[in-house]
Amino acid sequence: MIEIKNVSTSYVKGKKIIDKMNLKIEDGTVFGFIGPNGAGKTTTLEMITGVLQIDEGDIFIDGKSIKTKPIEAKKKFGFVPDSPEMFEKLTGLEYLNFIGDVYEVNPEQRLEIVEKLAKKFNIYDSLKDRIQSYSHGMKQKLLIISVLLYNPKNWILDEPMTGLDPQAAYTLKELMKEHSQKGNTVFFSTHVLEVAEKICDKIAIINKGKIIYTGTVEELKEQLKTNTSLEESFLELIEVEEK
Amino acid sequence: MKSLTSVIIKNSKRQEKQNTLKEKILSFIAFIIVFGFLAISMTVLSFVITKKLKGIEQSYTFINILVLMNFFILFAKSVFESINVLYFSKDLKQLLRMPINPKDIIHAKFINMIISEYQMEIIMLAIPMVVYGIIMKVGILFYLYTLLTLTILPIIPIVTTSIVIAIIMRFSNYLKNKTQVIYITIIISAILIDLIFTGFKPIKVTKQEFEEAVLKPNGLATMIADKIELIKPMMNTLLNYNNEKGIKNLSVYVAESIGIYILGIFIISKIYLKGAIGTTINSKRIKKDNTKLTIEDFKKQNKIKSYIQKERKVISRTPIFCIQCLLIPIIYPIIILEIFAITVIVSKKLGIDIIQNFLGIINTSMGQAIFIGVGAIFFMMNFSSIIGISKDCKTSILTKSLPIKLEKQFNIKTEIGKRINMLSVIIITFCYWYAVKNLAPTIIMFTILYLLNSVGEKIKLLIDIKKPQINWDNEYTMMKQNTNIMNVLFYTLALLITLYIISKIIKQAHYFLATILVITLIAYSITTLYISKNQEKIFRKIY
Repeated sequence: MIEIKNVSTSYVKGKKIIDKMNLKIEDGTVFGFIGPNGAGKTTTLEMITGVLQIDEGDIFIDGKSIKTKPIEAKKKFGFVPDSPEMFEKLTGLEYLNFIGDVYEVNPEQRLEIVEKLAKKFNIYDSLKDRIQSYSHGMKQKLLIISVLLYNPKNWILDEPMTGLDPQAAYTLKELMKEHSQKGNTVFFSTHVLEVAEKICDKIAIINKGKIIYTGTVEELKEQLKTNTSLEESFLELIEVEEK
Repeated sequence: MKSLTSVIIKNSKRQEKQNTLKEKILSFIAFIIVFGFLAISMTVLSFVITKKLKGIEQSYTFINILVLMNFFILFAKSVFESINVLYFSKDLKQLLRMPINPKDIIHAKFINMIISEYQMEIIMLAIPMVVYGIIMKVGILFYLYTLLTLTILPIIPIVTTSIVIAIIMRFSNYLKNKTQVIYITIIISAILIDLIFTGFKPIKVTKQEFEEAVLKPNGLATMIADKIELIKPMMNTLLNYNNEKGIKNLSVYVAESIGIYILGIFIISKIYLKGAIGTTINSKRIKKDNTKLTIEDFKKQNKIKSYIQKERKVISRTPIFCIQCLLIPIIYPIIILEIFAITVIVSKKLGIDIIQNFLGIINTSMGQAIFIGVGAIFFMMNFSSIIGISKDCKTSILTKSLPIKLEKQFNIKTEIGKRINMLSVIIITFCYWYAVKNLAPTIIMFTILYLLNSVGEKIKLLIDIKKPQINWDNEYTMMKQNTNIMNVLFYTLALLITLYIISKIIKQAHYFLATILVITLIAYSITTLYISKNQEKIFRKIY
C-alpha cells in the first residue's frame, strides 16, 4: 500500500510543483495515474521513490516513511523510470546481478526469474551483450525484469508501455494484473488512456500539481454524466478545471 | 551550412540546467581566475626562458618546443575528439535522418573542433610568442604571421586524425561493441599518426648535428623544425618572418592546411555515412551457445562489493574515463619512482650520494611539505571521484531509489579513486623512507597521505555532487566541459599554499609533520561527519 499524505514540493522556492497531495493506493489494485504533460506525474513518482525531496507531508510505503525510514521504504517497492537510462557499459546480465546483489536475491531465484521473463520479453539472447547495444524497448524490458527479479510488493512504473512492442506491452499488462490479484499494488503513470481504461481498478487524474479526480473509470463517467470513453471524460474534466 | 555549424557549436556547449545570474557570475570569475593564473604563469615562464635563451642566441628554441608539444597534444586530443564528435555524439541520429549532405555535417563538425582548440592555443602559444616578440623587438609582420599560423594550426592534426579514424570506423560494423571500436581506433590512430608526424622516417639526432646546432644562432630551433616534416613550414614561417623564406614557408603551410582540409572533407564524406550508421545500430550478437544461462552466471556477492565492482566496470570500459581515472594516476607515480630510482643509481655510479646531498632539504619542514605536495598533485590527476556522479549520466537518479544508505553510496563512489591513489601513497612513502631511513616519521607520512587521499576524494565527490553534469551527449564532452575539474585545481592550489605557509611558520620537520597529521585528522573527521549528517541534502541536486 502506498499512502501520500498532504505532500508538497517545489524546485524553486515558493513555486509549488505538487501542492498538498493526498492519495491512497490500496493493496490488490492496479492504480493508473493520468495527467497532461507537465502535470506532475513523474515528480510524484520521484517523490515516492525517494529521488525528489518532499517539502511538506510524507509518503508511506507499506507503512514505512520514505522521509524518516528511506532504506526500509525503498526495500518495499520496485521502480521503472520513464526513460530507461542504465549503466550502459554493463551487460544485461551484469546489471541484473547487480540489482540481485543489492536486493539480496539468491542465485537460484535469479536464474529462475531471469530465464522465465527474459524469454517472455524476448531478450534472452542479448543478456550477455552490453546494454549500450540495446534498443530503447530492450532497455525498458531489462529494467522491468530487474524490478521483478526481487519481487517487490509495490510496483511503481512511470510510463511503462513507452517503447515496448505490442507483445511485450501485452505481457507487462498481464503481469501487472497478476501481481495485483495476488494482493499487491501496481501504481503506474500513463498517458495512454486505453491502457488505463482496460487494466486499472482505480485511477487518479492530476493537473497542475493537484489531484482533480480519484476513483474508478465508471465513477468518473457517472460523475460527468456521460457514457463516452475515458479519453473524452478526461478531456472534459481537464477543460472544466482549466475554466 | 552556416546554420548547421552554429547549431553544432551551440549544442556542443554545456547543457546542464540553467544557472542563476549569481552562478553565472561566479563561474565567470572562476574562469577568469584560472585563465589569468595560467596566462600569468606562462608569461613569466616565457619571459625567463626566452631571456636566458637569448643570452646563448637560441631565443626561438622555446617557441619551437612549445609548437611541437602543442602539435603533439593536438594530435592526441584529436583522436578522442574526432571519434566522439564525428561518431558518438548524440546529435548523430538526428543529423543522419535529415536531408543534409555528409560534406556539410563534416565541415560543421570540423569547424566546431577547430574553434574549441583556440583557448588552449592562446595560453600555450600566443602568449609565449608575444613575449618572444617583445623581448626580441620583432616587427609587425611576426605578429601577423603568428595570428595566421595559429588560426590554421589545429587543421592538420584534427583533419589528419579524422581521416584515419573515418577509415577505421568504416569497418566498425565488424566489431562486437563500441568500446572495442574506440580502443582499436585509438591504437591504430596513434601508430599511423606517429608515422605521419615524423614523415615516415625515424627521428635521429647525431652528436655532431647537436653540437653544430648549438653553435649557430637559433640552430636548435632550426634542427627541431627540420626533423618534423609535417610542421616544418609552420616553424620556418615564424623563424624567418623577416625574410622571403618566411612568406615562402607560410604559403606552403597555408596550402598544406587547405589541401588536407579539402582532402579530409572529400575522403570522409565518401565513407562517413556507413561508419556513422555502424555506430548507431546494435552490435552483433554473441554466439547462440554462449547465451544459455546457468547458475554459474548468477553468483551472489555482498552488495557493497557488487556496487564497487559496478563502478570499476563503468570506468574501465569507457576509454576516456579509463585514461583519466586509471591510467594517468597509475602512470605518473610510476614515472616519478623511475626517475627517482634512475637518479639514485646514476648518481651512485658517478660517486655522488644524492640522498646525502639533499638530506639537508628533506629534513626541513619544506622538505616534508614537498613530499606531501607531490602526493596532492598526484591525487589531483585522478578524476574518478570528480566524475563519480556525472559519469553515470541520468542513471545516477535511479541509484537514489536503491535501498542503500546515501552516505554509503557516497563512500563507495570515492572508493575507486582512493584505491588508485594508494599507489601514489605507497610510492611516495617508499621514496620518503629511502631518504630519511627512519620508521616513525615514515609511518606518520603514510598516515598523512592516506588521510589526505580520503579527504581529497570526498571533497572531489562533494564538488561533483553539488553541480552534477548528468545531461551529457558523450563521455568526452562531459570531461572536456566539466568545470568541476577546475575546482579540483583550486582545491589542490589551496592545499599547496597551506602547506607552504605552515612550513614557513613551523620550521622544525617533526613538529611540522605532527601539525599536518593533526590537521588532516581533523579534516577527515569533519568531512566524514558532514557527509553523514547531510546525506539527504548533498544528494538533493540529483533528480
